[in-house]
Amino acid sequence: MAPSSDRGLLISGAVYGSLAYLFLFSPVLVLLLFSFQDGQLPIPPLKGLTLKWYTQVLADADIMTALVHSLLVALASASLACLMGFLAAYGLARYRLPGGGSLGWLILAPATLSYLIIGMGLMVTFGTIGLPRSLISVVIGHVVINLPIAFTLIYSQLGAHQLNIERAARDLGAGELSLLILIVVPSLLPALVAAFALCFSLSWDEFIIAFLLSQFEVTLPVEIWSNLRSGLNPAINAAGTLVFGLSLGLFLLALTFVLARRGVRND
Amino acid sequence: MTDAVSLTGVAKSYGSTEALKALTLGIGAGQYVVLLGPSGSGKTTLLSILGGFVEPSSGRVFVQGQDVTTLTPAKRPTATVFQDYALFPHMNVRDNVAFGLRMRGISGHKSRAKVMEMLDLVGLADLAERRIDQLSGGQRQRIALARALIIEPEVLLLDEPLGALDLHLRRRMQEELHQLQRRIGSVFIHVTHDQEEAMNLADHLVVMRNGAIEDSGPPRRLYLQPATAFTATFMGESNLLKGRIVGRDGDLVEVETPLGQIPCRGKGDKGAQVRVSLRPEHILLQANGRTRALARARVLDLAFQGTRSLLTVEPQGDCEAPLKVSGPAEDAPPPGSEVALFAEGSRAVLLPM
Repeated sequence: MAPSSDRGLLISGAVYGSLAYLFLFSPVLVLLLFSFQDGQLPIPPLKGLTLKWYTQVLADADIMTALVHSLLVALASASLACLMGFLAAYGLARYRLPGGGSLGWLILAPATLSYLIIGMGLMVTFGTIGLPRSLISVVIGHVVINLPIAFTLIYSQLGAHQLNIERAARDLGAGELSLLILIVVPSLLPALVAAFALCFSLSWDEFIIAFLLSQFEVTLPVEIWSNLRSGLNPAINAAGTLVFGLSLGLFLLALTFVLARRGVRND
Repeated sequence: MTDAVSLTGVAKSYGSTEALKALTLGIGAGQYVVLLGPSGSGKTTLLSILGGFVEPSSGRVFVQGQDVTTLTPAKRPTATVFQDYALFPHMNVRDNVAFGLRMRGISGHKSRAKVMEMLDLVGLADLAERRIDQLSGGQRQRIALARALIIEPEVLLLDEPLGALDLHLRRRMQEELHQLQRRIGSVFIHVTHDQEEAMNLADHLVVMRNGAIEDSGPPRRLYLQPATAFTATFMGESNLLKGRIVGRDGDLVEVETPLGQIPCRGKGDKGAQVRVSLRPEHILLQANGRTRALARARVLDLAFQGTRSLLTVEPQGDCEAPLKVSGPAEDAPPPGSEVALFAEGSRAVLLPM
């Protein structure tokens, strides 16, 4: 049996841990719980459980259109961010460029800015050059916030071991194209998938930039926001839960790939 | 006869740092060559230049008489086994080994037969379908060998190939590498910082230091007749003594040292200040017909090493540092006791100051 001081430590640790997790997840749990509310308001007391709000959300044309928009924006911005992030990371990792180090920092710089500043900056810029606010401008905004993430994740996998893998392929006769298709992309696939999933999920539930840069066609978080203005309603909880569910799924997918990669490394 | 590999005036600088200083080296056909040196000695840079991964700042590289200095790695008759093996993580063993053939447009039955032949060669024929992350360190090492050898290189370059393996496995892989090289007959050039590994494997040993070749030749010659103090101390234990040449006796010179007069192999003028290298096993605790009596000494420390023991002794007279002396494993004189020292005849080596 453990000495009593150890047990005290264990118990206080468990209490603290439980409180921390409760703090983290209670908003989500409340959201989730009241999306099943059998009543008009998503607030206590819980009057019973129903799926009718989900039915209503799935039948709502505006929400469904916004959901498709969100998927398109996330797909496009995550793909672009990963492509550009890969090209930048590969170039900076494999070639000596004048000012190479600072170029890398410049790619990371947008990560230090708040989404509000990025959104406003882009709104002003697009207004000046005459680009109308649309899903395309939202995609550009999301590439700005996702590129540093994609770049960092991919760059971190391009170290000495990956360099030797590429050297080995060249040594055995691979030209540039077969090197890229047969070796570089497949061996970086775990990092690429992780970066894509993370970028997709960040774009999928991003609000401020999407709000500032869209006009007639809006994304799901913006649509939920405009519904919120007409008052609380369990349907919004149901929509929010759907958004959260997809984000969580993608996050777990990304995590699986990152951890799987690490497992190989440590072997 | 042209050398299998030859380097003429090969140098490499990174900015103001000289990684290699105008090396010239010839390697005969079918030799197992080991490049030995501490880290930063330029041995890996030299290997990268041979493999075509690093372009020399000046000088030429020839393989079988052909100038390969500007050829890409793919176009050279060389193949490299990397220190971290650099196996392709997304391919299984068979596809890894077959990669070189695939890049040469060889596939199907011909490729499969050759892959099996290579896997047989390294003793892993039953692992063809395994994923790379399911292999142990030793198995990865062998797959990396098979993958490089399948393209039948004239020269196989091995960059610290056994560095990541534990001692037991390292010994076994040394034997296997040696046998493999004998069977295939191509030149192996193997980089290591482990002098024991170097002596076990090399037909021709190249000792490197600060980007230059310090000494080069058969390991036996380098061990028994080192050209420099660095070689003498880097290849095994050696005692270095300061001395002065006092006479000549045929092939030997007599050197006056703090331990007494020692006959040395080497050439020098009478009166010249020199250094003498004397290996622990060439200092005896008992006289025989071929020994020369040295100063007496006190035992400071005794380390048991299995077949022998290694004594650290402090000689009388003004010797710079304690001496290492090889003693019997059984009944070695204990610390504190006093011993007589004898130099085994003509084993000491004369070194420049």
